[in-house]
Amino acid sequence: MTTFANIRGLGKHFADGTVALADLNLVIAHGSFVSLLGPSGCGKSTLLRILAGLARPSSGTIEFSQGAAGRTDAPPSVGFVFQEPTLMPWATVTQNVALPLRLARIPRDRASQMLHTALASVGLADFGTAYPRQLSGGMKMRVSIARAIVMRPTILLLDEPFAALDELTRLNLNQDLLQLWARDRFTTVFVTHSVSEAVYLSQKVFVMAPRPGRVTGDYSIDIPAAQRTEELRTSIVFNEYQREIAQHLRAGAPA
Amino acid sequence: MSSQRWRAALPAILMGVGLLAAWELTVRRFEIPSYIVPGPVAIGKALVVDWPLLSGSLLATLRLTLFALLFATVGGLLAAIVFSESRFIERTLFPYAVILQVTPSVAIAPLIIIWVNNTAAALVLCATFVAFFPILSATVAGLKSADHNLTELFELHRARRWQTLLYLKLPAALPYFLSGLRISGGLALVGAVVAEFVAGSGGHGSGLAYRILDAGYQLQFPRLFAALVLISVIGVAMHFLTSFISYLCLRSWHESTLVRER
Repeated sequence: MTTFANIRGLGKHFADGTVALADLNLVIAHGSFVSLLGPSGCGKSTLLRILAGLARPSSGTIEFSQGAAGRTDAPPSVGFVFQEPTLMPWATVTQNVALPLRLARIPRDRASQMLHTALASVGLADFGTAYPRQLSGGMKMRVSIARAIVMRPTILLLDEPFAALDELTRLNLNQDLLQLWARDRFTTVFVTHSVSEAVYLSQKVFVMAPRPGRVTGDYSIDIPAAQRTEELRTSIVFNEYQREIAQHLRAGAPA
Repeated sequence: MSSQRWRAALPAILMGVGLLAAWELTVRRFEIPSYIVPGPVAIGKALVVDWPLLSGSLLATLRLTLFALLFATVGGLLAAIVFSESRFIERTLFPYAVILQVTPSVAIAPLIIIWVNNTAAALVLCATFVAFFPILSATVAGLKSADHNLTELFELHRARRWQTLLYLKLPAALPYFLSGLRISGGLALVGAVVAEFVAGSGGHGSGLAYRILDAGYQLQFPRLFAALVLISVIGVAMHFLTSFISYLCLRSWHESTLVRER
């Protein structure tokens, strides 16, 4: 198993004195699906933003095994999914998904091929000409995911993407995300505060605690990809993992 | 128009007809002389009889208003882009832009007429000045209104500055710009009328405001009212023009154009 990113002694404090992260260490394996799980305020979103290169750490280092342009301190190509769909309301589904291609000025032929692959892989092939205001919350999130993977990034970062969706939509999108990952195997870092979502999706769950934000435990979820179906949710193995991690979360939280 | 829309417009039409009738009856019943208040029929007659004179003025004022709106739109848009792209220029110039904006343009109009030799140019400059600021300030606000997460997404994909401007900031500013445009459409007409009042120059090519002044001096009140009616017509036309442009730009995506079935 090769290392994708090696995070050592990472710290982040803000100008107002808040310590968002302190002496954080973790290793993300290449091609793995990793969840960052913790209560609000534990710095999991901050860590994700640092991984994306949207924020700078105050101390410590991140080493990427395949950094951008031969560098090891900058992330390689990143796909990012925000908590809200974050779509351009004036653009159609196709135009929204094509945004990264357009910004990178990918030649037309190749761009349209990549675009179709991305749209098809989230089941949006027939909705290309729709505008965001015509779509449901779940559909908007699919557009957001398609946009994140259209450039075939080496790392996909998701910041509580399904938190605002209804239960059924969330379960469906969980399943779709797993299928995407099984097919393309981009290294995926998924931020969530839902224990069951973390266990269902991930190979590795990092449990985080607040004040200051740090990793207090990591769990390997040894469930083969083929078994990650709806039936898994009611199985004994799944519930064992859930119970163990939830207990850990409770122990770390001051009531 | 469908029969349903006719029915929706009916109360307003009846109201107008009723008011005009009451006006005409009052003028006739109390024998009010036309140099105090002319009746609608007298005004209508003046519109027909003086049409050769009034139509020239109508065209002059309409042309002035449209040019002023065009220059104000182009100028306001460019200035807003420069302000939003350079914090330094914005900090240097914006206070003065505000001072110019809060100074009543009516007070500046005589100066412009004196300073600029060419009357046509002076009129356009005056009217442009009045219509300029709503577009500037609305567009400046709009260019800053882009969603923060979207801005970060552009950053993440290493967007060039022009790409962020073209694909993110300008589309995000469009609804703001268009509401500025709707205000400026009306103000361009106000500016045109004020400029014509101040310039007060005669001749066949002079505008409706001059016709009002002139008719007032000659106690030709029906003609004065006819000129006033034509100014209102331009105002209504500007309103529909800018609203229609706005509708065309926003109909496919903006919340304001969404029709919900109940």
